[in-house]
Amino acid sequence: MSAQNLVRFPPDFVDRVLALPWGALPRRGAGGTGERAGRHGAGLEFEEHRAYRPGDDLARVDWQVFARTKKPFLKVQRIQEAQRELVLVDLSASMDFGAEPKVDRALRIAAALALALAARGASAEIIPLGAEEALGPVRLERLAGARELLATLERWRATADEDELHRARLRLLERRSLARAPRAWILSDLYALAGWAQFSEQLSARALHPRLLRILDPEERSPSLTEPVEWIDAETGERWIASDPEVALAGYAQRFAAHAERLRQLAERHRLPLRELSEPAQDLAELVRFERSRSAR
Amino acid sequence: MSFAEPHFLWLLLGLAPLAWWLATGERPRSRRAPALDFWPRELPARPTQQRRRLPLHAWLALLAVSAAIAALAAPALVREQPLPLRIWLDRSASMSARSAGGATRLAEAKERLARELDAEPRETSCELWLWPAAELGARGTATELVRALERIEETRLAGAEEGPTLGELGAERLWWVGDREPEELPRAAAFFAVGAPLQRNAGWVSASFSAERELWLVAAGAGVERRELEVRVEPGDRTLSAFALEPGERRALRLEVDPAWRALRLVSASGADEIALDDVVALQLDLRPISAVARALPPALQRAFEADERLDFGAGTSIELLIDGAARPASEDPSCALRFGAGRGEARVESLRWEDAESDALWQRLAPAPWPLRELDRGTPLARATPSGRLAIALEEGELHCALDALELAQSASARAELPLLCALLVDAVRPRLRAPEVERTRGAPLDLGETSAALRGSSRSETSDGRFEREQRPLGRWLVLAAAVAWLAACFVRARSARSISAYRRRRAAG
Repeated sequence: MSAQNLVRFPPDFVDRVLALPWGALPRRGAGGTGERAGRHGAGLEFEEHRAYRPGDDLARVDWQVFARTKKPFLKVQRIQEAQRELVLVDLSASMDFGAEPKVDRALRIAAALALALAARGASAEIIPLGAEEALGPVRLERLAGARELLATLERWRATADEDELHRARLRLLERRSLARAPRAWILSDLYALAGWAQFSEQLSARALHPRLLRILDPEERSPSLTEPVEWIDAETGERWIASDPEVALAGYAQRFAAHAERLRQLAERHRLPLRELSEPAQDLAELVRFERSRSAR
Repeated sequence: MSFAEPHFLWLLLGLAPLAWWLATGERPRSRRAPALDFWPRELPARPTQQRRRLPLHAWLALLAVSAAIAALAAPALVREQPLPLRIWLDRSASMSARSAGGATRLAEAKERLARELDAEPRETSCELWLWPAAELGARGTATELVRALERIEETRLAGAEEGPTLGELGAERLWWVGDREPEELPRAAAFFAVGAPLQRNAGWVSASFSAERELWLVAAGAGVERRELEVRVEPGDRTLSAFALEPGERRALRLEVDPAWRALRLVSASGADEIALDDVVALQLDLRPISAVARALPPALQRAFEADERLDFGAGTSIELLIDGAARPASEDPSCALRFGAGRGEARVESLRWEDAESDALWQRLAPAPWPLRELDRGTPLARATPSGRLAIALEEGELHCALDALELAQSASARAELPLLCALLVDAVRPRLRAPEVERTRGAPLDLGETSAALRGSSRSETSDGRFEREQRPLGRWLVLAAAVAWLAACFVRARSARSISAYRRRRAAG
């Protein structure tokens, strides 16, 4: 299997992903990896009501419907075919940065997770945070849909601003299917920490502890600045002049480190797994190590 | 699009370094930042620093300067259309001569003209004038003119009375179709010759029948054969004279006639020749003296006399010129008529007859310069003189100089005859120049603002190099000047607004 005419995904992307040692990923009907253990009704999905026929199990009668209609109806449920994990990809404009844009890397990671889950009979739903209305979520149930998945992700662009991202997070928290997801992944640079902190708290309150994959460009960790520069904010378009490179770099390092520390404290407070990916060539390998380490723990 | 003063466009090169200087300036390089909050905020970008490209008011200023420079170059939209074509078709007596093939020269001329018109653009506006009567034969497109040619026939008369002169044709395209090229045909005119040289012909080229019952005749021979000429008079069929005429020979006769004759008809019994029209001449007694010149004068020369209000050298005396061997009296007085044509022959001044007249009138007409002669020839003398050198007229540095020998003028008929010829030549040379624009275009002159100002005033017309099309130029200079003014005002407005916003920002910062 290969993905041709794609820029974000190399031709052997699927083969490379499937060859990785994803030992800890969930399999069909596994019911989660522990964080969801004990969750009542896991693996069943309501499908429809039908009229009672003699011989049916009375335990499946929906008594609430009977109380309203005085007619016996059975609640038809089907077994959830695969564990569906949520992969939330930040499509704010700040992700469109770097020699290799961070959004490309995030979408490769998301696709890799989806492929690995599909190979194990599970499934993944990739949600474009900030552009759901335009792009919509994409699901991968079986490996046969890999090509279509990659073609869809190839078209995604990171153009949302902070407000759109905020509204996207609120809408996601209102989704009913969120309660049935065993795990969630957040792929973002995790700037504007206040919004992400609130979002993480909301997810934790729903017993869905997200895994935070912070994607950074090397230039963000250690920017190079040798001359005055006019900075243009990728999301807001705001402009500022940095006339003294040394002063600017010193201030940047201090603020960046403070932000990273606050992010670390947030993850600890909510017991959220956090991994920073700042080497584009090592993204997939780092993802596998992160997953295996979490499983081992 | 054309530029009358394209060298002004070089000034645009001067804007390039200006634009480069404005574009580079001292502004820092722009870079995108995924999170601007991490960078210390030193100074918000000023309006002039917000973009790497030029600020708006600088663009507007550059646009204004560019438009002004382009206006200096006097650009114009150019549209070409066929020039109107004026065709003169000679249908004088000599055009009735038949060639070996049996067709007359006029038929050949019409056929040649039809071929030439076929090659013209269909929309060309044409006028067909008939020489020598100066009649407008047809007017319309080239195709319509070809159809109109079928109606044209030879005429017995050759003297021109009315109609435009060659000198009045100006810049129009002119074709002349005939058996002889006029001497004063404009340089830009095209001459289409028809007809082979005459082989055998003899006939009357000039005649006068005075009140003293003196019959004066001039006969001329043409071709290569010697012709016997017998002069018979009707009525009575009396033979007055008989003589032989060599090819190219002209012979003047003075005959006494019966005083009772008021009119007579002369027939030259020379046998069949190529032009029949000059074999018969009908004369009536004219109470006025008539002078005639049997000379191959250019049509423009004769036209000059008439257009110049007919030089009058005495009471009741007018000059009659025979062109192409035939003439009509200047007036329509039936008491004086010369109603025949004649073949070509060499002109001789001695054949002139001149009645004594007061020379004062002549002198008064010539001595002071009656014409506005400015801008003529720019210092190059324009001079004419008689072969004897006793009469001369010159234009020098815008003034008319006449050198006349009063004694010669009083005693010599030829001198008196040559003087109006000189006048005619001069008038013919002067007239078209008088009608030229007073301010000549100085295309190509370096940094000539006159061209620019002329281009700003309005559209102009000129001919293409091949002379077939008229080029109409609609100048764009005034619009460019307007655009430059608007752009400059807009630049000032934008800059003022920017300055106010910067000042307001600084006040806010100062206020804390």
